[in-house]
Amino acid sequence: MDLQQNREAQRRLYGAPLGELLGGHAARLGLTQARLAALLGVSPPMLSQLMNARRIKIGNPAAAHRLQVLHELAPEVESGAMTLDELVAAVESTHGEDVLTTRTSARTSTRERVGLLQEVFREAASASEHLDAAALLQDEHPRIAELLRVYGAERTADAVAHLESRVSSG
Amino acid sequence: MGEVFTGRYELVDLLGAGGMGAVWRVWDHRDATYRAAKVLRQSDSVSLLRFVRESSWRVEHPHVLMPQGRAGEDERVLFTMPVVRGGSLETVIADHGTVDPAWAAIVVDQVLQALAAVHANGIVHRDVKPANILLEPTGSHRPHAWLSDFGIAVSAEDARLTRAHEVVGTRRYQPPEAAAGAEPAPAQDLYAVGLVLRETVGDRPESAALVERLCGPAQDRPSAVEARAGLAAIAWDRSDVEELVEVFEQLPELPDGWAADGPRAGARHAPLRPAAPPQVASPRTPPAPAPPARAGARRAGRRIRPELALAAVLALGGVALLVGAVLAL
Repeated sequence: MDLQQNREAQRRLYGAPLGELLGGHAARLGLTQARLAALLGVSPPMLSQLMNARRIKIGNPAAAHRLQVLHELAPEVESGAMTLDELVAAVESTHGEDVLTTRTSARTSTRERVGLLQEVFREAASASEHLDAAALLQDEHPRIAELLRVYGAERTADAVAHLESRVSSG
Repeated sequence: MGEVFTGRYELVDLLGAGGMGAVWRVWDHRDATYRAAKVLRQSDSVSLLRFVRESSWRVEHPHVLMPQGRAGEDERVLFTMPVVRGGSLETVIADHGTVDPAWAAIVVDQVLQALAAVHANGIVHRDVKPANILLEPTGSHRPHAWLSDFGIAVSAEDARLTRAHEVVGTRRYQPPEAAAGAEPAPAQDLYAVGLVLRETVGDRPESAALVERLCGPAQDRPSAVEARAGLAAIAWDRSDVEELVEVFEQLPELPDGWAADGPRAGARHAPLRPAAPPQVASPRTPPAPAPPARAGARRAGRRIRPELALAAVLALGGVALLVGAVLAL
């Protein structure tokens, strides 16, 4: 395997060898390689293969698309026009709708997020306890009571609908 | 020293946290080997019941991964599984996009073999999806897949833990009749295999007819055995395959204080957080008494022996999705 040739091939595809490109973004944004891999949606060993030019191409079109968004927005973070959290959110919400894959659909990732939220709530208490707590809070803090009911006790489908309404309205 | 369950399983590091509890890498002091362990709280009675049931089934098959043992202590119960180190089919799809169909066909065939064995035992998996198909880290060699996570599987004779109208499993991989409340049936797993096949190889003309049969009406779906024959009959066009699939070692490195053959001397006081670098020259602490056969294996060298190395990340993406459906009112 000619790594130098691979780097040149990466330069033609992505404008720079991926080690340079991704390493530069990681360093400037203060991201570890593991975090960068998670952000792009590839596994850490795959990221390292790409950065070492042992592999030329990012196989998953959605990951390539996320890299593109990262590349476009990174200067905004450096100039202070955008926070790192905002960039991470923008990259993560890139689902590659305009490329061939719709594998990571928005629906799936909302469900996953709901799953995590429900897990946090249900680690803390049972559904009936959440309902009791919601009843106690209802008059003083109705919106907090709603969260307890939705993520502590309601069905996943309802919680997904709730989160989607929050995300789209907020 | 890390926390030890029932004097046998020592928690090494947290591999992930899912809807059904945390997954740890543990060191089994009795058998001198690493295992993956889900730790559940006793108060999670529904999950617990499912896991007890799951671990009571015994389907011995080279592509079926079921819990091996359990240990309970105070408020918590631990279920152990072999550790599988190559991530899941979901990881491969995320890394490669659609994959070499010849590679995918081997994996899907292994899943079908697993399902044939499972169905022959009267069990329906009900949650076949890429995240539950674990892989050995075989690099670019022939893949080895394990069908895992039988947490919501049911057997025909079982009293149903889930009422028919409740939705369990991952909706995306569920056939229409399951969402409509049909009784669990093997054909439902075949539907999911159809989706997995399409997701793995993409929309290819060679597999279109098989995918259509698998995802068609329940009464027309092939059995796992018939689907294997259908899959084997496909001549894949690989002319557009650019790169070979590679299944990487996905398990994080062992934390300080741990080596391939168990706890290291000198760092046993704090194995769960970064400790002083292990001293290479120092003698290793002998582990807790191990059976003679394993003692021999341990002496064989520092490299993980393949049979000891069935280490495992439980693909957690899917697990997180389940809890809501399972525990929904």
